[in-house]
Amino acid sequence: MFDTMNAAWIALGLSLKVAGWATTINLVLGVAAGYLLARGRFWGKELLDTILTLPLVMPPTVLGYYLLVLIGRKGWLGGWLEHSLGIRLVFSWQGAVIAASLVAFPLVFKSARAAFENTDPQLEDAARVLGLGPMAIFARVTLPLAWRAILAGVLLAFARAMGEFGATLMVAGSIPGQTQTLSIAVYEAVQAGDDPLANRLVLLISAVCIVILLLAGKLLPGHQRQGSPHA
Amino acid sequence: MLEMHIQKQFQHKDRAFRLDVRFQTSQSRMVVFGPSGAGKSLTMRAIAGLMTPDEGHIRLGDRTVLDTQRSINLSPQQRRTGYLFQDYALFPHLTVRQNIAFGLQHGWRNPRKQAQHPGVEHWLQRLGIAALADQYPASISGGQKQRVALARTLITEPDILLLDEPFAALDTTLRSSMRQILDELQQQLAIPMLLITHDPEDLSAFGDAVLHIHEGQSHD
Repeated sequence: MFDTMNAAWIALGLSLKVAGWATTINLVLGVAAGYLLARGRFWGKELLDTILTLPLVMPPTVLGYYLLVLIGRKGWLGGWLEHSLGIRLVFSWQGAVIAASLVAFPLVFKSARAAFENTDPQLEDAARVLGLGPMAIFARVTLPLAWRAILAGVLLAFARAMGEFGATLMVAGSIPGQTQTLSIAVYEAVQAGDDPLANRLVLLISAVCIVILLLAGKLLPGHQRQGSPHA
Repeated sequence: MLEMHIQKQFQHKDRAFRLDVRFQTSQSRMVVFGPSGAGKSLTMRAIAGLMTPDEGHIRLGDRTVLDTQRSINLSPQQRRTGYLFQDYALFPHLTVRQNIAFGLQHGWRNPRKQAQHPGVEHWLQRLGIAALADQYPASISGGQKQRVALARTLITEPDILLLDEPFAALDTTLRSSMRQILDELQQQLAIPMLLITHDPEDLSAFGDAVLHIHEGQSHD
């Protein structure tokens, strides 16, 4: 009984750690990419959008395979990292973070791009004429108007990263306490016929996901009070 | 006061539009007059630096803000123009007081909600909007929004005031009272003013010098 609970909490802790790091990475990269594609004008923009959206529709195992080709011990980036810096990403929790980041990236990127495209460019013009530089305009006008929609996407990305299975398993494997996240632990428990553990794990991850979705629902546009300052 | 000659070619799919505007005046009350789609707003945006012409020059008073031959092109931030947008462009996430104080600080943080700045209080009183100071733009009327936008611009002490159809969205009574407010402000502050309109009444009230634009071309 105690062991069962302990294993579940360890797996949950690891899932939260992996999803937390993946979300932080996506917050930076997704918002930057979303802003670039919303405001930038360059050749191949829509092709880049398509490529950045691919993780949303591709099977996670395929993404995992791509990652192995890239950061695996014989991958061109992974081989270099191991030889020159002694860093090995596969079968580590950092590898799980990379897998979860990749899979959840489009959710942040897409919502950020839409949020930036929905902010009125005339407000940025008004700020320019009033003397503000580009960074100040981003911090004082663009981001405050877009953050709600971005945050909703970030929460969905966190939930997606929590539930990540396929790519994580391929890149990081299933090492208890190191890379065995909650969703992988469920699979292992069922395979081992450990129904009590599987039950607890499933209830735990369901509860976490419900909380995240409730939070995301509160933040999604259209759910705001009338006359809200952020309307 | 204002001397300009700008040219720009726009190409959008199979539609082409050529802007070629030449204007020179020493008057300080100027009107840009013409039908919609003629290029009035584009001309205004070029003066503010929000649009860069292919070729030309713009001089405001004794300052050259654009001269393509001499590679001079001041950014909108450097031009010291005051721009009143047609739909006011108030910041929806800031209160009236924060909106007015917006241009006073150029750092990364917006003015605080509670902060009281003498200049802001002055303009709140002068334009009769002090009662609205803590409201958000979404909850005030069109005429009130325009006063807020005017205060937000004037507090930065611009060298020239650019007004894009300032009365178009107002009803007739409000329109004549705003016209009077603007008339008085212009005289008290002695600030040069360029106003876009297609209303002949604006022309008689503010048109000491008139720039006629038709299909992108200026006429005398």
